[in-house]
Amino acid sequence: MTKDDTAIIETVNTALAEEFELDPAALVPEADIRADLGLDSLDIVDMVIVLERAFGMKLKNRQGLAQIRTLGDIHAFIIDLRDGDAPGQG
Amino acid sequence: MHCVAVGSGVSGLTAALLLARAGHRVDVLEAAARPAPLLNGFSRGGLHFGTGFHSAGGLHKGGILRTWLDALGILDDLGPVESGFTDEFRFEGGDTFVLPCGRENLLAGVRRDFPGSEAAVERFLARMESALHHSPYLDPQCLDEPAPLAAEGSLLNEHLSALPAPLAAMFASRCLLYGLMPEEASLETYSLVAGPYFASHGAWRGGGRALAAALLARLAEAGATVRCGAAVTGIDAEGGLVHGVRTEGGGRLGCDACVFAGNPAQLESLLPRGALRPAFLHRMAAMPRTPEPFLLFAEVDGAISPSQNIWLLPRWDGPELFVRLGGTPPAVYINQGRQSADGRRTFMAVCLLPDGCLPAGDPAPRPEDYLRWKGQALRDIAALIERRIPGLRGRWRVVEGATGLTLRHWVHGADGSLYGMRHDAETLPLMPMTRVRGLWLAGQSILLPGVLGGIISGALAAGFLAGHEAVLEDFRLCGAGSS
Repeated sequence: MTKDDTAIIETVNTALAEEFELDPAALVPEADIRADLGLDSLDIVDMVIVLERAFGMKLKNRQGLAQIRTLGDIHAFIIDLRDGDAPGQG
Repeated sequence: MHCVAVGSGVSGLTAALLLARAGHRVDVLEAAARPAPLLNGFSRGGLHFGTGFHSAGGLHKGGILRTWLDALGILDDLGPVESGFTDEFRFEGGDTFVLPCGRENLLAGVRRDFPGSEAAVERFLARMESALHHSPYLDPQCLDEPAPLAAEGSLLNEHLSALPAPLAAMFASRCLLYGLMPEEASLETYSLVAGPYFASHGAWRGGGRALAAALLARLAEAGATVRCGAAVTGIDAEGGLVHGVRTEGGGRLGCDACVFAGNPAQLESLLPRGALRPAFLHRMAAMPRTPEPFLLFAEVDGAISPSQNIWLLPRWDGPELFVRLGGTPPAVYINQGRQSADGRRTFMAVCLLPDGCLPAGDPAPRPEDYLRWKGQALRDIAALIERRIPGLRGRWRVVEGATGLTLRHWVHGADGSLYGMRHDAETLPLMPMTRVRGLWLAGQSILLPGVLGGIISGALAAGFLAGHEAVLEDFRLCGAGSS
């Protein structure tokens, strides 16, 4: 994990904690978004928008979005996007 | 179940009627002194001017709007329904085209003016048609569960690029029906809002006033009450569940469910803290709005064109179709009303205002510089219309001007935008459901704008509350009978 990966994880966790009023202690990578963090299908739409704003890029319709189950999946999804979108700059 | 509908526009009244028919106790609360102020319009000098409704698509037998009006039991109350309107496009530089509606008429018009383009237009029509089949609220034959409207998909302009440029500009002009710039529109949403206008385009004799009266009459028969002058000041939802609605002056109405058909941006101030998550509130606050309008109302002696709608547009090969007021020349949409017994007709022209050109809020009295600007804008638009429609001078009189500020004043809670939140290709649409149990959203910011959008968002909210099968029963019956 690089320093930039850590920054991405922090940005995701801070945004989700603030926007969904989640306990920061619950934000472990293996946390299931629905079962553990209590987000429902309505919240998932809002979550995509929260992440879009936090990272300044469009996420809807991106491949892999529908497969996200855990907080760790979100981290990996954003890190992959960064690596895919800006090769060599990670 | 006791349901409260907040707002007595077309979506609030539709939701209320369907819920009352499904056997629920229903109260409608309206902030204004009389119901449905926008649909009802206003009168000047013995002429009635519609404001909320002028013409609609899908009014032919079997058309989507006609089927819904029939399902609501109000089709016969509206007066004779016409569905053969035409649009006349006058482009700067002199090119004028007339676009009829209805598949065969449209294709004949295309063959006449743009020979060789029929196949591309047919493909475009078929592509739009298929978008209607995805929801049971749009297609009486669809038996699926309602699914969220996907904002994904293709841009309208990608599909229009297959057409000759003037034709593409005319098709793109229908984006004004929901306040979008053509480059912002997705084909999917355009198909639902503009698509029905290609099938048929018309109006019923009584206009928006008759629609409001018919819905109110059916509501009274169904045992629902409508309270005017009842501005909602709060929705009680402690514990994440709706249990009452509070109104100005200290009134409170206990209830089990609420269909909120007001401006969704108001929800934050109406609900207890924490009822909606910051993510949802921030998303709503950041949702882009449609432009604010400048409206000119006039009376004309006789007809100015055989077409009901007249578009004064910049050059079709110009960089921008909907040039806003202040640009040269601004785009103007004109709706010509039906002739009254004394030979006069109503005439309404719409221009789009640049963002942020109106004072904030609903200031009273109106600031001096606003009034000066409004007066000048009214004269400028009138002069432009006279220049572009020769023969009008001396035959018409401007009777009233209105802006987004007027809308804010007239329709409680409106933000002055022409069509509420923008239904563009980039923005994920707001759905009727919320995190608060028993609270559902309806209105033109949800799903689709316009009379059809209002009916569908109201019906969908009622369907989530009372069961989709119950709410869709009459729509399916009427669809099968092709009213």
